[in-house]
Amino acid sequence: MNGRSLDFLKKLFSIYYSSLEELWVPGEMEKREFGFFLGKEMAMVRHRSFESAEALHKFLVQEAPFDVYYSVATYDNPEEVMSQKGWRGADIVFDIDADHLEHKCRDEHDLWICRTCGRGGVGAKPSSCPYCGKKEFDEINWICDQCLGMAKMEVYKLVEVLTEDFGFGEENIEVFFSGHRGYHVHVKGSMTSIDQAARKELVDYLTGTGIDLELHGLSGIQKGSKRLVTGWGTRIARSIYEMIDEKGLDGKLSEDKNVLAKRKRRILEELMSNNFETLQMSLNKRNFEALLALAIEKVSIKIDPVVTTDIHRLFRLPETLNSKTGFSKRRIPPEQLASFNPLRDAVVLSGDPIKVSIKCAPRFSLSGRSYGPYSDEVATVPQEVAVLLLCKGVAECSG
Amino acid sequence: MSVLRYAKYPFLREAASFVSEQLDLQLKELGSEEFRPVVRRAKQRIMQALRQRKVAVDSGNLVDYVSEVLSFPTAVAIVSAINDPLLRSVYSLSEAKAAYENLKDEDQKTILAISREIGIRAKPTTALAHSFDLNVEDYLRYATGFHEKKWKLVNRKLNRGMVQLTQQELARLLQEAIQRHIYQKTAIPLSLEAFPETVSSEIEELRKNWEKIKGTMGIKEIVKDDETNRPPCIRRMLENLSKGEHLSHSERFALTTYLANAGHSIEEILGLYSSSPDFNAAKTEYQVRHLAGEMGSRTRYKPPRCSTMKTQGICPGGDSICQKIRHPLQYPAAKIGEERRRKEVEWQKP
Repeated sequence: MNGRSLDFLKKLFSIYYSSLEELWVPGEMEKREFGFFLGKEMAMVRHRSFESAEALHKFLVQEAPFDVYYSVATYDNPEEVMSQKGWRGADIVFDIDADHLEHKCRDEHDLWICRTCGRGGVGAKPSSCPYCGKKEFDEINWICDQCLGMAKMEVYKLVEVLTEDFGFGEENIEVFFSGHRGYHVHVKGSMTSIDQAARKELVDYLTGTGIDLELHGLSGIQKGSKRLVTGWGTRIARSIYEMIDEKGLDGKLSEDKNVLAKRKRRILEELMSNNFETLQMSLNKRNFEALLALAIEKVSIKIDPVVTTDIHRLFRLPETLNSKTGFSKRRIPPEQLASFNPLRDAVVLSGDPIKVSIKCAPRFSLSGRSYGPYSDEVATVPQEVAVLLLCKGVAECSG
Repeated sequence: MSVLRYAKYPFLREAASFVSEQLDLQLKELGSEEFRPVVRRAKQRIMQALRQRKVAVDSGNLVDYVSEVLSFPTAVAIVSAINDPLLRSVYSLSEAKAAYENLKDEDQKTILAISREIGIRAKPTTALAHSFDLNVEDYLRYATGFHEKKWKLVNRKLNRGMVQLTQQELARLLQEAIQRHIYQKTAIPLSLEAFPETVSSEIEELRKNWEKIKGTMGIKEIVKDDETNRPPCIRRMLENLSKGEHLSHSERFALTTYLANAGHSIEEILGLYSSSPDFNAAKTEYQVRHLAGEMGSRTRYKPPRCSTMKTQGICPGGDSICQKIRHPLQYPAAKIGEERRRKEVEWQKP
C-alpha cells in the first residue's frame, strides 16, 4: 500500500472513531490486555491496558489503529510479559470463518495478484504469471452473500447446541459479524475458569471430533438394543431424516434405493425417536456407515478449534474496524440475525465517490449495489467501495 | 456423619473438625505414648501408597476409629514435611483410590454430600436409578484427565448443561477431585523440627525409603528424532514441507517444537524450513529460536499432545504405535520398544 492510500485510510479510521458515541468494552476491561496494529505490515503493539472506556476511546481517536484487539482473558497484571501476567480466567469465544467452509463461490471471487508485475486474476493462482512469467503471487480471499450465508448457518447450529446441550442462557450468548469472513460468538461470564484441556473437550463436542458411534448406540445395533437419546444422536437422526425425506439420498446408496423407498415411512417414523433399526436393515454395512459419516459431517459445527482453546487469545474488539475490509465488527441482536446482511449492515465508512486505480477485483456487491469485475483500470467508486479495495490490497488511491 | 464415615473419608472438612473437637492434636504431642497407634497408622498409610499405590481403608474391621481418623492429617503433615511433588502425587492418588472403592457402592445421600463438599454439583437423575446428573463445568474440570473414549464429552449424554453419569462413573470422577484436593493439602510448609524427635527420625527413614522407590520409577528418556522413528504426523508435515506445500500455523508450531524437543539444533530446523514456499530466513529464525526457548520468555515450548492435534485437525490418523502413546514425543521410544519386542518374539521362534 502506498503512502497516499495509507493516509487516506488512516484519516477515515480516525474520523470513524471520533464519531463513535459509545465504545463497546468487555467486562473487567482494566484486567485485560489490549493490542493494536497501528500501521499496515507493522508489528502488533500489545500488553497495553486501559482503565476506562473513555481512555481507550481517546487512544483510538488519536492513533486510529488499523485493528483493535482485547484479551479474552483477565489478568492480575495485564501489561506484564505473558509469564508474569497472572491469568484469572478467560471468556469462552468461538470463531466461525468462511475459510473453514467448503464453498464453491471461492473459485468465482478469490484472487491472485502477481508480486512482480502487479496484475492478477480471479480463481486459483496460475503456475506462472501470464503477463510477466514470474511465479510469486499474493492470494486474496473475497467474500460474498453465499459464503457469509454459509457461515451464518453455522452460527445458528452453534447457538442451538450452546443453549440446548450446554445450557448457556440465550441472554449470555452474543453474536458478532467479524468484519471480514465470518462470525464471532461470545459467551458471557460462564465457565471462565476452565482450562485448555476442558475447552478442547468443548470444541470436540461441537465439531464431533472423537465421536464413537457405538457409545451413542449407533453402530452394530442389535434388534431391541438400548440406545442413548443424546444431543448428538438426536441431531444425527434428524439429519438423516432430512436427507431421506427431502433430498433423497446420495448416489452412493443407489443399490439400496428400492428397499429404502419401500420402507421410507417406517424408517422416518423410527428416526423420530432416534431409532435406526429399519434404516440399518435396509442398507448394507458400508452404505449405513457412509450415511452416518455424512450426517456427522452435516451436524458438526465448523468453528476454528484453535481460537476457542487459546486461553490467552487476543480477539477483535466489537464495533471497531477490520483493516481487511474497512467494515466494523458488528454486534447482532438475536432477533436481527436472520435479516442481518454483513455486506450492508457492517459498512460504516460510506461517503462520496473517489478515484482509485485497481489491479484486479471480482464482481461483487456492497450496500445493495454491484461493482466490477475490474482488471488493471482506474475507476471512480463510492468511498466504502474504495475502502474495501484498498484494504484488500487490490487498489491504490489515484491522482 | 458418623465416625465410621470419617474413617472412610478422612479428608472431609467434617472429619477435620471432628479431629480438632475431640482431640486437640498438636504435632509436638505425636511423640507421646497415647499417639503411638496414630503415628504407626500414618506411616502405614504412606508405605501402602508407595508399595501398593493404594491406601487400604478397611472400615468394616476397624477397632480404633479415632486413631484411624487422626492418622490421615498426621500422614498429610509427614508428606508435607518430606516436600516432594512426586510423593505428594503418589500419596494423594493412593488415598483417593481408597475413597473410590468405598464411594462406588455408597448410598445416594452420602455420595451427594461428598460431591457437595468437594465442590461438584450433582443431583440424582430423575426416573433412572443409580444415575446422576452432573454440572458440565465440573465434569470438564476433572474428566479431561481420563483417556477412555467414554469420558470424552462428545460421547456423553449432555442436556441443558448436565452430563449423565452412572454411580461408578461419578465415584471415579470424585476420585480425581479428591486426589487434587489432597494434593493441595500436602503443601503445608513444615520442617522436621515441628515434629518430636522420635517422629522426625521416622520421617527421615520414610524419606530414604521414598528416595529408593523413586529411583526405580524411572522417567522415560527422549530418543533423538531421525527418519526411522518419526510419528506419522511429523512425517507428513516434513513431506509436505519438502514438496513446497504450505503448513498451517498449528502445523509449524507442532513441527518446530517437536524437532526442538527431540534433539535437533536450531540450524537443523532452519534447514528444513528453507524449502518452504514463503521462507523468510530472519523471521523463521526468530520464531524457531523463540519456540526453542532461546529468546523471549525462555520457555522451551512442548509440542501439543495427540488429542490436541486431533482437535486441531492436524493428526493424519495414527498407526499401531500411536495407539500406545498420548504425546508425539513418546513415539520414538515406543517404536524402539516395539521393534525390540518383535525381534525377541522372532528370536524365540523355533
